[in-house]
Amino acid sequence: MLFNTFRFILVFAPAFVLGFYALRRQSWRVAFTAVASYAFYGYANHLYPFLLLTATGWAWGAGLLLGRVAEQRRKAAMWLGIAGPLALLVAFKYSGFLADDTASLVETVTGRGLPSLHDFAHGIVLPVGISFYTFEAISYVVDVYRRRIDSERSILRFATFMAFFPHLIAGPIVRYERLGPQLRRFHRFDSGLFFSGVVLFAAGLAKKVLIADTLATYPDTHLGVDPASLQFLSGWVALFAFAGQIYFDFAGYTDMALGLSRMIGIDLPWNFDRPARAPHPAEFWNRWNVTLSRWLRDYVYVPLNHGGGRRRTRGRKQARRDVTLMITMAVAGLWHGASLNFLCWGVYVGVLVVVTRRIGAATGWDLPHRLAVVCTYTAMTFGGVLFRVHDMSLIPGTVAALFGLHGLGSMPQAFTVFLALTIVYIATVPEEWRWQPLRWPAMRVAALATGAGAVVGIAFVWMIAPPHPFVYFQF
Amino acid sequence: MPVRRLILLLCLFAVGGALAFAGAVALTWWVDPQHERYDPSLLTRAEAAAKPCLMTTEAVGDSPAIADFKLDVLRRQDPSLIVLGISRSLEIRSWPGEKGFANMGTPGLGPAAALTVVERVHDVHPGPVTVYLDMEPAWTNGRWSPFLDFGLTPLQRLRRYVSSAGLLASVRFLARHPGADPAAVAMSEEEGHCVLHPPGQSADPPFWYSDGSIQWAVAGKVDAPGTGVGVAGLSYLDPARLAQVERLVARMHQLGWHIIGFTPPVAPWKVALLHSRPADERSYARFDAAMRRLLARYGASYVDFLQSPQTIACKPANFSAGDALHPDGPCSARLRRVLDRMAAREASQAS
Repeated sequence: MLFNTFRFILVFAPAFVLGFYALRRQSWRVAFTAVASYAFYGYANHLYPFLLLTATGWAWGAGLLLGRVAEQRRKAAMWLGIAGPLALLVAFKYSGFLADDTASLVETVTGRGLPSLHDFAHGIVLPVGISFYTFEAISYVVDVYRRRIDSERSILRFATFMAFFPHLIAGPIVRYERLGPQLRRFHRFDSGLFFSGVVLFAAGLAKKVLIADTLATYPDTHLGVDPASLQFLSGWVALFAFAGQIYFDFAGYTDMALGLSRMIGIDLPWNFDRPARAPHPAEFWNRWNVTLSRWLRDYVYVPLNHGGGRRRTRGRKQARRDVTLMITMAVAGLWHGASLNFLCWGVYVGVLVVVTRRIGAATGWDLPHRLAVVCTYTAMTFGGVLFRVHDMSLIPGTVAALFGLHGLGSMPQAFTVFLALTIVYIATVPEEWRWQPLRWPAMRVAALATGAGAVVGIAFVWMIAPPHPFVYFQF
Repeated sequence: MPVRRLILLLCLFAVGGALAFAGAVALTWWVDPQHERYDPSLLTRAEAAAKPCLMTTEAVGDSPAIADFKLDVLRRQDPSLIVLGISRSLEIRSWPGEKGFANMGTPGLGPAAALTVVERVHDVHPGPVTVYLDMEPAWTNGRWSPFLDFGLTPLQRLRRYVSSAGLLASVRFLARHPGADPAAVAMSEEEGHCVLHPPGQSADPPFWYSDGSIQWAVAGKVDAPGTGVGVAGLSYLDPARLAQVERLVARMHQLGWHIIGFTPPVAPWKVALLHSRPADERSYARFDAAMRRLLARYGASYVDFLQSPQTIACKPANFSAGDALHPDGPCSARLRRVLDRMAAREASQAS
């Protein structure tokens, strides 16, 4: 089920919130939330909940095991706990990629095709949200192993943590230490928090439906299609529009997820921290998908960078850090999608981060803040070619068009004005989750409520057409 | 925050949403930038004019508006003779001064929607009706999607009228033409006819006539030969679609209507192309035989002008709508004369 559908907004969400507050015991609320979340997930495909249940049961069991095994076997228990959810992820997300590439390689080397392997690869359907809940399961097992948290004894509470529908499909990637305690505490209805949740949900809906989906129209017809028809101006407009589309799509989803959670008194971590105002690629990445970048830092980068002893020279330490960072970013790329273009995108961002760090460290240069922000945003937007154009054979042509090798061309006037307005929005308006309407004067709050309702009303007009899924659903 | 204040804010939220949505719907409805809405005063004006007055397709409107236009034609004509089919039989018109004729066909009409038209005709004119039924190969093709529906529910209509594209186009219209009446219709003179069209838009064909027929293109143009046989569905005789056609014929038979089935002609070079391709020819022969059998079961006759265009002497110059599939006015008039003769002969035999 998509957040941006009438079925969700007018039926599922109100029924869930009313049902939640109608229950007077926390254990009932937790059970109700789990059932609602599984129904939400199973709506798209009735087999998906079984996968989620498998990952949940495995990680929960591993947590219990970690609390009982002897010290010297804890590491093995941790790896066992990680292996289950990771195997599901590999089977459903990466086996197709591996099979397809293996078949292509065999075809190139031997001249004989492997059609059955290609068919196998194309027959695998990626269950939505699997990347997110796999990472949540892994972080839980590792955190129990590291003794950051105690293992959860209640399977119901753990299942609710894993399946909680606002974050299930596209994040944020929540750690158990954040959500677990909130699931234990009985939440008394807080009208201020509820109202801020409604406003945040409305803002997210407007970002997704009114801005992201409108921006999508241009890149959908210009990127990933015949690059010969792309020229300098149309190419850059398409690329900036794609950057804006994915920005508002993800920001919109995040706002909606946080807003829904606030309505029932659950505080999810923010996931989108004004990335377009970052002056360095590293900061941009850290602010873009906050919970993912922190997850990669804590569970990939830090363990890989750890060790090597004190005898390493400064240069070797730096080299090791750079290599670790490149590996982490490659993982980040592959997390987004099982294809070569995402891997290249991860490497591209990694190179940007390493190079800017190295230049900064070596020269001590520091660009003026605004110029640094513009350069960072442009460089990250340029990387969008690798993110958006899935067919690698089209990428050189697209890049050539962006460098003006296909001529100057023209740009759509009305669309470019709209695009420019969205960039102004990105640059100036604070993220809505930071707003604190309860501190505002009464009239301003009333205007906010009416305005939020109005944007939802206009968004409903847009929603009459079949909905566009969120970009991050494919990850 | 007190709960009472929250309720007040949620009420404001709901009112803001309802007003914005209703405003957007009302604006799109009023401007109607995608020509989805039919205005009955158009036909009143066309009929009241001194000369026969034609209406551009922009003035009448798009798919749902065409259905409303046809039902308006039906109410005004109270017809005892109707033509029912798709775009290929739409140039069949009334004779000068003739009353009680209506061309109830529409572009993209499928057999299921045609059944709705039959019921509406029966509601308006419960007595005996003669129907010239355009038996289209497309109707028996399961892959062909009819795109016009006479039975839209209010919700379906709302979904068609209201869209982001419609709202944006409405806003653009108001920005470009401040103070203009979006429903205004201008009258101009074209080749001896008066033509009703939206102001600022051209008065070019296609033109609707007040009897429900159409003129697809200006005379003197000839469709260029191509490589496709182009009669949709030659290769298919979909059982479900055949059943729909049979239901349609059965219902008309049940109502006591006098049915004459026909298949309109195509340009001669397309017929030659059809006969030069054995597979297409066999498919068409199967369709032709199926239609004959079907109509015969209900005591109806059938004439296939596609196989024998020479019977009405339609030349390449009689196909000017762009695809050599749509006979023009003179060709359709000759076709109607043949059908009229058959109808008269069968009526006299019956009496």
